[in-house]
Amino acid sequence: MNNNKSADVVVIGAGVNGSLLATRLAKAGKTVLLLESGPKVGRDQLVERFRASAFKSDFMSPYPFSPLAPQPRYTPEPNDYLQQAGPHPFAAQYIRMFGGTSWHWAAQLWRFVPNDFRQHSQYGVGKDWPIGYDDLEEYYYQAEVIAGVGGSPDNGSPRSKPYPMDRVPASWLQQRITSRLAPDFTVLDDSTGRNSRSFDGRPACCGNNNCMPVCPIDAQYHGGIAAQQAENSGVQVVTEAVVYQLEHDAQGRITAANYYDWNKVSHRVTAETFVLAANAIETPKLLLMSASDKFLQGIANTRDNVGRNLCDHPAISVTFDVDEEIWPGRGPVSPCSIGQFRDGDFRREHSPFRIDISNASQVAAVTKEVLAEGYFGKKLQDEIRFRAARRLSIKNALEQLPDPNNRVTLSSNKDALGLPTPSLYWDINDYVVKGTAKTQACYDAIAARLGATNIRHSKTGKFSNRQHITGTLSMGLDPATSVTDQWGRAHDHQNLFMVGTGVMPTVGTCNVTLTAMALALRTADKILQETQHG
Amino acid sequence: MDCSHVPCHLQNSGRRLPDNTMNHYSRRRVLKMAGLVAIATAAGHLVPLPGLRAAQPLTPINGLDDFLQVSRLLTQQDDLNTTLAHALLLALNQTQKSFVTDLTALKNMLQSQPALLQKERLTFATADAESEKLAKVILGGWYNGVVGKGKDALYVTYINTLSSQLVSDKVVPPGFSYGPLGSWAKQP
Repeated sequence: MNNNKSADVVVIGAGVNGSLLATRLAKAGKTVLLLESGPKVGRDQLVERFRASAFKSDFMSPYPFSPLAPQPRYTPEPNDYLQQAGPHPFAAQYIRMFGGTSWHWAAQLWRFVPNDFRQHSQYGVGKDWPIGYDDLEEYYYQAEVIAGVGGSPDNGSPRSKPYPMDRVPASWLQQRITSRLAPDFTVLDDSTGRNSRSFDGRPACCGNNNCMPVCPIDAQYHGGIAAQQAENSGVQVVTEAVVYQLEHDAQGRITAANYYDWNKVSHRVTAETFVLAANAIETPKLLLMSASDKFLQGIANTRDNVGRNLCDHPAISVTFDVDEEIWPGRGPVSPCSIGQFRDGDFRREHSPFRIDISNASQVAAVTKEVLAEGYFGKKLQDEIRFRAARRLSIKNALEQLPDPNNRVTLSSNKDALGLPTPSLYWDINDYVVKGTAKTQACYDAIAARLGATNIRHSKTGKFSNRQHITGTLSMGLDPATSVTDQWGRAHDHQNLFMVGTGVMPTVGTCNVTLTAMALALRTADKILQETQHG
Repeated sequence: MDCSHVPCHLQNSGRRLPDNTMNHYSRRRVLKMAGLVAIATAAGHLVPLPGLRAAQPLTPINGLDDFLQVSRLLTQQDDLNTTLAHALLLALNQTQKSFVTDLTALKNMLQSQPALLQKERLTFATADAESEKLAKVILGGWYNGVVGKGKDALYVTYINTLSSQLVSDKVVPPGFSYGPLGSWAKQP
């Protein structure tokens, strides 16, 4: 049997970024092979799995797990796929499946603010990007058109064109919180890829309040849609294809990718151009696994930068009961936020942050809480209704500065195919801690304005992950401190590109997917430009 | 549930069964809510429940009368769904050691000490801590629709939990349509 395939471009990873890039290349006439380590599972099956899950608060529970393409899991018990080597656990969640991790998200599609791209020159901390906001603005818009994005226009990110989608109407909760926090706090519509009208063959939102873990009607854009569009555009897709090694020639050009199917039969694929789109942890893993006699530390890793500068948005949270009925659970789960702390001269001293206000139903959470407190009978009913009507949940997204000590490496553990699993080292410095104190002061002020009772802050010194994993494939002008150039090309490998959030040098204060999508489209254009004139 | 596209080793959620316990929802929602009571383990194994099919009578099960009696005392609701009670009892028998025996003890205690149910919260004597724990487990089944913990957790029902029914005039269970775009803008 001939296990070999060939294409103009091989893309590894069928998440939203790899799929967008693959689609653009295919529509331009390239032959594209898209390899995905996980399976292809339909939305209907995912919705069924959600409804039958005993762990509905775990956003991973609807998504199938296979030891052949493992992913981090935490319920019913942690599977320890990620080895934690640092002082703070980096509890990453990602989905290895056709469509990738943006299957479970709230369709948050934010632009960075301009100063995010010039952080170091503006504030003397962190890094500057090799490109500026203006370089990406047109690509931001292209991505917004593809996803159908709407939101508040005056959110700190300048626009040359209006949002392509009208915003989704605000829930009663959002209206009340917006009104009561003004003028000290300005609550804005989030920037989201959520339909307020029929668009792209998908319906308008009907308030299922289940954006995470899965929208049952595809009213929001996600990677599964992008991947299907790639396949419909002529991209050849191979799922359950776990790439384990990249080959190169004497000049360092990548010549082939080897993958195992789920029967552990090895296949070899060749191409003129290779694009890695397997997320900010799995892509570094593949590069590190591909060490050779010429590249002893792995592909693209001559200067030991692959996997370094691992960033996320460390988050702290607060919950309390508002002094009026707001009934979270009506409409989308994550509709609005406070953005006034995303930028300013204070960034010299502490993390900027965004404050996210949840509209997710609190019924299940307060029920467990009230049962644990021992209520029963009529009082139990009263307490559930009281708290479910008033409970507000808030969390933040603190910008973490890139730190080369925070990194992805290979652990000594092996998965079912015999491939090493990732090891993560993650620490949090004073810059974030100071931002945390500022956030808590905001939380207290917000709670006071809302007449809050039953106030519960997350545990001091503990941070949750927002799953905005960046930095490990940082783009930059200096090969000594970056992995990729401004186009996402590996410094030492002319025909190897990387897309996804890993190429982002800094994490900013917003969800990172739109920026990664814009960068992926820009990289696609670069590949087309070079290969059409090459 | 048609999982024909998914390899068996990937399946970890339960299969749904027809159910006769719906209430409070429009026809549109009801159609979307097809399949309400099932039992699936966290590991994904279907627990056979032929007796839950709407058109079939429930299979007699030991302890159902006691379970309903205790459940009515704890929930202070007389109109509990017997189909769901049947499913919960099966799940509790699977996840709780000597459940029927302990259930009888709990029933006797609640009947002999009615003052326990005059309090605001369950606060049994130290010697009866296990009975208090069991009472909370039973309430958890009715209100959460899940019995057991960790890898032994059993999903029993979703929208028919007492908590869902309790707030059904205000919110829908996540995953089901609230209404047309913007219907959530008005005061609930």
